[in-house]
Amino acid sequence: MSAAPILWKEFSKGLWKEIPPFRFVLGLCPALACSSSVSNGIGMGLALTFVLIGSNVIISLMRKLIPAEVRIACYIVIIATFVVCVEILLKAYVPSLSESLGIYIPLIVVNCIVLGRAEAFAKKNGILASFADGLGMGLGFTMSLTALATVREVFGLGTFFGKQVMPSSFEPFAFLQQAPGAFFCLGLMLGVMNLLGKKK
Amino acid sequence: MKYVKMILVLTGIALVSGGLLGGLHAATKQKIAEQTLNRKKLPAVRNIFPDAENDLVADHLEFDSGGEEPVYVFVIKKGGKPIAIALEGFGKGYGGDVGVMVGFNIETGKLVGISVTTHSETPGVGSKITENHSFLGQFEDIPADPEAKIKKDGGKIDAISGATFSSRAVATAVGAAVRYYQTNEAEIKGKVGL
Repeated sequence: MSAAPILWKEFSKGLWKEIPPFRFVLGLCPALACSSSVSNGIGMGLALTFVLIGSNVIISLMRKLIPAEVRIACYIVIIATFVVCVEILLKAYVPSLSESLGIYIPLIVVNCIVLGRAEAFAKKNGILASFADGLGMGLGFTMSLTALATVREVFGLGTFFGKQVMPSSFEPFAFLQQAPGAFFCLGLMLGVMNLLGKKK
Repeated sequence: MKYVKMILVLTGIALVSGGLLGGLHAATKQKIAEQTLNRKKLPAVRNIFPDAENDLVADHLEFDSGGEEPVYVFVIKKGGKPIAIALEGFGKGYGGDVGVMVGFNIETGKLVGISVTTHSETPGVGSKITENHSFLGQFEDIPADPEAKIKKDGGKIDAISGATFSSRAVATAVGAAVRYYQTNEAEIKGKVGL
């Protein structure tokens, strides 16, 4: 196989076959907490994508240099650096998003998806493949969050992207906006995904 | 030899990371300070003094706090004359520091009113401190008391039921702002031009 199809495979697996929160059930904390509105979901997804690509590329670049005994410590420092970059940049240029995501941005450091990809992929693969993997996983996560957030925002608030979409007679299910509603939605979506996966 | 390499690599990564973040912090510090000024502090001041006639940004003063961020003192003018100032105090809340902008009448030294600038209290519970008017109204037109306390702690302020911790944080923050104002009153008045 030439290089391009392999890259495409690494990229596209994150979008469906191994889509992070649904297939691996990893990274649930931000998926639940940052999916109350579509703009939050996309913001969180893009922040995570940036961190994933950055950490994957750097770790892949240094994979021969990092001694196996201290690899986790090295990974965490590299990941944390990217996360703090995102945090500072958001604070300086997109303060509204930084406020609504709050503590969940710094918490990306301990997001299992990021460390998981470093350990499972970037430390064994080349830079380009790691980049494709990070991009795919990140976008997959963004898509999942957007899907989850769409359900929660449209039915929980009656809005989409902050704009009213439901008729004014519609009484929003405020329950969906709260944490139990997030679990409920995620569970239903997991069920649907599993059902679709089985048919294949 | 193995251990030396481990130490060297990890130290190297940490050094590069530290340097990078230090640089980024220095590069964005100004911008972040500007954002909090425009998005947090100014709206709070306008909230207390909706009829301020001057340009609040142009007329604000900065005092050295000894810390990294200066203390911002806003001057409110009416008819070209300074009538009040506003500055921010902080108190420990349930989810971190609660920042409260406190307005002072320069002539009488009394509080004009307060408005919450930053907080990370529990949404729907502690966050009531930002919008509960009967609670915030208790700080309007009262003598400045550096020991402002809620009733539970032996003070005069009625706490919001269910949000005692956050209410206490507001009282502490007001006390801190009053203390700062009273300690530096002469200097502030001097700079305002009184």
